[in-house]
Amino acid sequence: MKFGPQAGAAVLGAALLVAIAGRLFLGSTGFGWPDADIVRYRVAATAAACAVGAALAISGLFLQVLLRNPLASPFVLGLSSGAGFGYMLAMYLAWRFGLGLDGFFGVAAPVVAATLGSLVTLGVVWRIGSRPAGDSAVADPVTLVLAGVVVSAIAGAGSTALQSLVPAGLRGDFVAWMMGRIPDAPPVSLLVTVAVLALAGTALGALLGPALDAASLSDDEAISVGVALRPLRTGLFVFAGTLAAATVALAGPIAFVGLVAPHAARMLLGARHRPLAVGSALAGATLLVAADAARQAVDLGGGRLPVGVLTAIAGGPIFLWLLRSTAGRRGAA
Amino acid sequence: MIELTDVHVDLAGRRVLSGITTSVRAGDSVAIIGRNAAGKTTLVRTMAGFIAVRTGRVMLDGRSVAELAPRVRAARIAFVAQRPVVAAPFSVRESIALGRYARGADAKRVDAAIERFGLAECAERPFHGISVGQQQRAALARAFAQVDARSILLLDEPFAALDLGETARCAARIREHAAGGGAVVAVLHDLAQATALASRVWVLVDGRMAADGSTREVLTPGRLAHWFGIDFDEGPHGPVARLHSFP
Repeated sequence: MKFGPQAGAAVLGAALLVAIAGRLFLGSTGFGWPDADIVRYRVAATAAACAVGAALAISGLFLQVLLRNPLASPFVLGLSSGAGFGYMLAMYLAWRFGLGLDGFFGVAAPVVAATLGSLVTLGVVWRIGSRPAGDSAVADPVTLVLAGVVVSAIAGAGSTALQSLVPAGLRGDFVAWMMGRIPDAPPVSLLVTVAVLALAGTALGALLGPALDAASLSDDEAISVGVALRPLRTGLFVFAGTLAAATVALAGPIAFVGLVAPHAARMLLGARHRPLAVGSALAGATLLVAADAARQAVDLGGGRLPVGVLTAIAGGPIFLWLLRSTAGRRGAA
Repeated sequence: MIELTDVHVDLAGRRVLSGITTSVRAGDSVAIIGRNAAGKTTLVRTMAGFIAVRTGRVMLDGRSVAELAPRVRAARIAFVAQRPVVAAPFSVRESIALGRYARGADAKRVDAAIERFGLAECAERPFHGISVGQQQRAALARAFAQVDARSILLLDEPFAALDLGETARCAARIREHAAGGGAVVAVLHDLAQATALASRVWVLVDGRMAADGSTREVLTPGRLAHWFGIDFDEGPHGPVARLHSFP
């Protein structure tokens, strides 16, 4: 169902408003407008879900352009795991040497560590998935995904190893964080950082829209029509990695929002990247706020599911459908 | 238009082009032929400014092609790859309009290019939903939408996926470009396509220019047999390889 850029953005904007209303009314105390002392927690959680969802979606969109791969997303390519490992390493070192995250490190230290972990992971996956220099053909999508899976597993193993080195209390925090959750009381500076990055990424995507369109050609053909491909790719590389890392620092690794949101926006708005950047951010925010609202209503007896589990359950089948459809496209080519 | 002077190119530590000196002028239509791995694609990519030369010079209108900004180069040179790639789910029309990225949207030029390459019926269909031959024609249409009449088309096996009729029609459009004051350099494997498209032939052997002359001078059975290692007969429209007699 394609609406075109303006109508599609309006539909997504309306969906986001509905999701926000749903999240504000739904909480651990049930459905309804909460007491005054609860409201600020719901507002903070909603703002965090909006910022994280939009940032993940823009990161996914940039990765899909950068790698010319519809399956690319921060989670699938292992960026979230790499960022998670970097974040946990910073936390571990802070604990091990008694540095204190609020003192010597400040909030920025885990974010920097997560960013480094994310960029290193992206660099490794890109390197493995790319074809030899001089070949302008696209990197093989399945190779990229497999590289992401393996690198993600290695980073995940590293995170698990770090868990075993910390005391039980901190370990519990680690485990809860690794499942992906929207905090009710996020650190304001981190929330603002993610929100600003998400807005900046959306603006950048809209600004670079025509270049992103042309970058969907092969390297040689993109340069031939006038795209300065190297600086464009470097910018996308750094921005996608930083966005993914910031979301991990705030909410832990959250699966598939970065994959599904750009595709949902494409279905509604079309493939041009200028409107798609705005649409992806709206779709990402909508998906994560809606998922966080939905999880308030799902209690399997052991408490509410972390939002990362919910997005993985919903996003996994969509990923498999995309994998199948891109395999069909490769077979037809 | 383009001048190459003693061009040497290395890729992955291997010398791929050696001592190439030649030029392309307005009105030229050049076919590059040679065995596999002779350096044909590397030569057109070097002319397009995609590959840095080890030594030598590639000059476009008196300026080093590699040092021109992509936007500036896009106004003078259009490149068509052997395998067109459009990773985003664009329609055929949108994929052709990408040629106007650096030069400003121009719906009339895009429409003209669509008509020129017989793509009107599939213009609104997804690029991924058309045949490989149609995709190749769409890539040619994008190049025509991109540049003006007095510019250079660099084509890497532009007819590889086209049937005979489509090849003849596209070759005619490309010849028109050269006849109108532009220039064309195309990598080709098929000698019939080379004689249909080009007035001039470059033969590459192990990265060196073994011959540079008119199709009549260069494409003789004796010389071709020497370069390709098989026999040729003289046909009514040029040499024909004796593929059926190869053991």
